[in-house]
Amino acid sequence: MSQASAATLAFLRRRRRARRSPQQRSDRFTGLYTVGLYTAIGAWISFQTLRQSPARGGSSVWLTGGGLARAATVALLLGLLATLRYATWQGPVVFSAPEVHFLLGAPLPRAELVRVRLARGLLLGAAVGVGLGLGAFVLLEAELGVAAWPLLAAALLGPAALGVLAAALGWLVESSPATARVVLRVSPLVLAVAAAAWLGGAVAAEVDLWSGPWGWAVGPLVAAAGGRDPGWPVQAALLVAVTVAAVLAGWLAAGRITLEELERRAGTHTGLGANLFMADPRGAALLRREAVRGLLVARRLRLHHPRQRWLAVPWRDALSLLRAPGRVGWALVLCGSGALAVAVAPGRKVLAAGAVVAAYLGAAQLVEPLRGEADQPDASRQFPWRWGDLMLLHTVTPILALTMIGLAVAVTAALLGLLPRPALGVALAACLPVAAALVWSAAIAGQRGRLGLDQLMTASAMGEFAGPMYLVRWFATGPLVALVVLLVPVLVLQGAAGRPSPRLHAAISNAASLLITALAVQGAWLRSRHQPD
Amino acid sequence: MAKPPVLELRGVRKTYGELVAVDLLDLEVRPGDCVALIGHNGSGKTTTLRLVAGLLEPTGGAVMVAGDNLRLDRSRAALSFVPDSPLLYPDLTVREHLELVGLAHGVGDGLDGRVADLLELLDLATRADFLPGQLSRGMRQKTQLACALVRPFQVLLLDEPVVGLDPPSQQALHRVLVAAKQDGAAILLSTHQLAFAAGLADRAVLLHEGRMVEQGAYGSVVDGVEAGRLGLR
Repeated sequence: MSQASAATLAFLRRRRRARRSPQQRSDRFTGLYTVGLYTAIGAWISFQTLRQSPARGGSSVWLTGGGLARAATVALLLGLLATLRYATWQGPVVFSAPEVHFLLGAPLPRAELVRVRLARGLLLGAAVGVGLGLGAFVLLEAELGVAAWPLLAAALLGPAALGVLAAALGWLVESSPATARVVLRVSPLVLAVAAAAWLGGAVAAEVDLWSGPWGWAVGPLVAAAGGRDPGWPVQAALLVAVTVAAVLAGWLAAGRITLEELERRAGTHTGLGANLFMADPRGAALLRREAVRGLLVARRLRLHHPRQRWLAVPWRDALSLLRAPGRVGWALVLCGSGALAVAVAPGRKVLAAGAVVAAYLGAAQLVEPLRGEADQPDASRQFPWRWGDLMLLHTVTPILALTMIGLAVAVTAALLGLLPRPALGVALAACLPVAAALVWSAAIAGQRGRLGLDQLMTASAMGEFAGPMYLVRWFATGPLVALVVLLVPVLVLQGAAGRPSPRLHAAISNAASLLITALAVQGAWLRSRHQPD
Repeated sequence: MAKPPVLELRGVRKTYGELVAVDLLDLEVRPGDCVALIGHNGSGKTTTLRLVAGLLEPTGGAVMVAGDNLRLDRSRAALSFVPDSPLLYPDLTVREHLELVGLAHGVGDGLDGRVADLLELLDLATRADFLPGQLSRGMRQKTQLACALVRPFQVLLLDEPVVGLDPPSQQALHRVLVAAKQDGAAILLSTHQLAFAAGLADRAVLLHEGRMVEQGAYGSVVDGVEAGRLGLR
């Protein structure tokens, strides 16, 4: 590092250290110490509990017979994908806005300044890998009881190396918009590959271990856990070689990123911090969407406007969905996975509740235009409708989209043999009212607008217990409404499953009545809403 | 015979705790009239416009639009409001904003032509398929103005309409507003740009600390003693 860079960074470090009071330093140490201590105690207790559990060993055959290879490979592949996607808008090298202006704007070699951050990012990647590996070690050792040291070494080193590799690749993505574009475009394909790897069975397990760094990192773990993987030394060598190559490439590319790119990321970082401080995960998600918007070619999809007045808002919402097809994709994944899980194990009440919450989250993806309206309620003055009516109009397109998704999921479940023919008719008929119930639940939560400073101050004033509860209630309103509206009819149907025909028909009729009543209440409540202040 | 007022404020008052933002304001605006609200920052101009637009509830008094209470849907349909900072949807293009508002107000068959005319008039045609995030502040302001003009209205409310507009756009807006007046629209605008209001406003209302200090013909108010005392000229 040049003398000027070293002197500047040392000056900054000194000034920052001097600003930190002894109390702050002490708090920092206490925080780290507490986290470390609780992690160690938690790991030990989990280990002992799992080891003494009567169910211990029940999964050993599955784990060593290919299950561990498939599960860990898919998890690491998804983790790597998430890291690379994160690098399309943030990444391992992020400066603050003042640093971009004062530090990077100074005549200092940019590569040197970037390398300091990159080294920190690589260390963080290794630390995350070690953390995940430690968790895997605890679970596997408790379940399998194999020789501990080889398992610990494999559990820590493989994920740690992959963590370093992910950070290095992340930096390469961050420093090249073209690479970032590729990552965004191939993401759905990677998800499909991950699904295939998971569903591929024992044959796929061997392929998975050779499929790339995510598999190479798992190979030694499988071998140490007692599974069959004679090629693990080669896999470990490949992982090390690729990691070293990626780190070298990243190190050499340190000066490649533009100041404009770093400034954009610094701005996003500031906004992200503000959103997280304001407990606004949706704001953070919108920020991410906005940050990557420039990477992809702007969609110029046109949908000619209809002639009927009342279709103006549904038309506007359809345009919005066309421009953000990822929302429909997420809705499909969330609703589909929940529904298919229930179809596989129809008697499990907890699974049904989980499926309702997943479907609610899917519906919430589709009501973004309604949420956007509630974000700036003054804009609604340009419409001739009252707030409640406007909210209902904003739910038309999401209900139709969710109904289509529901129909597709029901037919897929029937084709997979998960849904018997008589049940298919009921499922198809239920799609529209269930979609309406889910979308209206999301609308009931969304029409309140963003969690504002007023609510945060109220929560703060309510004390240590009531305050967090107030915030939990704010976020849980939508899912709770969906659960109240949908879970009772679902439980009625579950109770009658497999019963004689008259009883089943009565249950269907009761469930339908309950659902329609709940829909009427939801609709009336939404319609009665007034514009938020 | 003078036409009946299309907009009436009767003893309108708005307070925030002890702060009196607008105090006992009486005002009538007739079709074809343009009234300019002038005054310092914090004098109550924007609050008055937001009260008329229905975005704020008056603490006292009443706002009547075309003889109806402001709460009625038909009075909402009669008002078109341009806020001081643009409120646009991030996922709709300029053209789609205009189509949305026109469609919602039942513009009908002539909508496409009307949209094209306004885009041309406000020099937005080359940016018609851009999203708000790709536009400068001035362009966003013009989009907001176009949204207000694309629909039928009886009363047009404009809060600092020329802030961020370049001189040609200001002139274009001036022409549009003069034409709207001639078509019988009532206009209530707040502005610091007295030169812009000069050729447009028939009357002026001088506000100071929430109170109406003077009201009358535009020239006499702007050139009057009170405006001079407050340093507005």
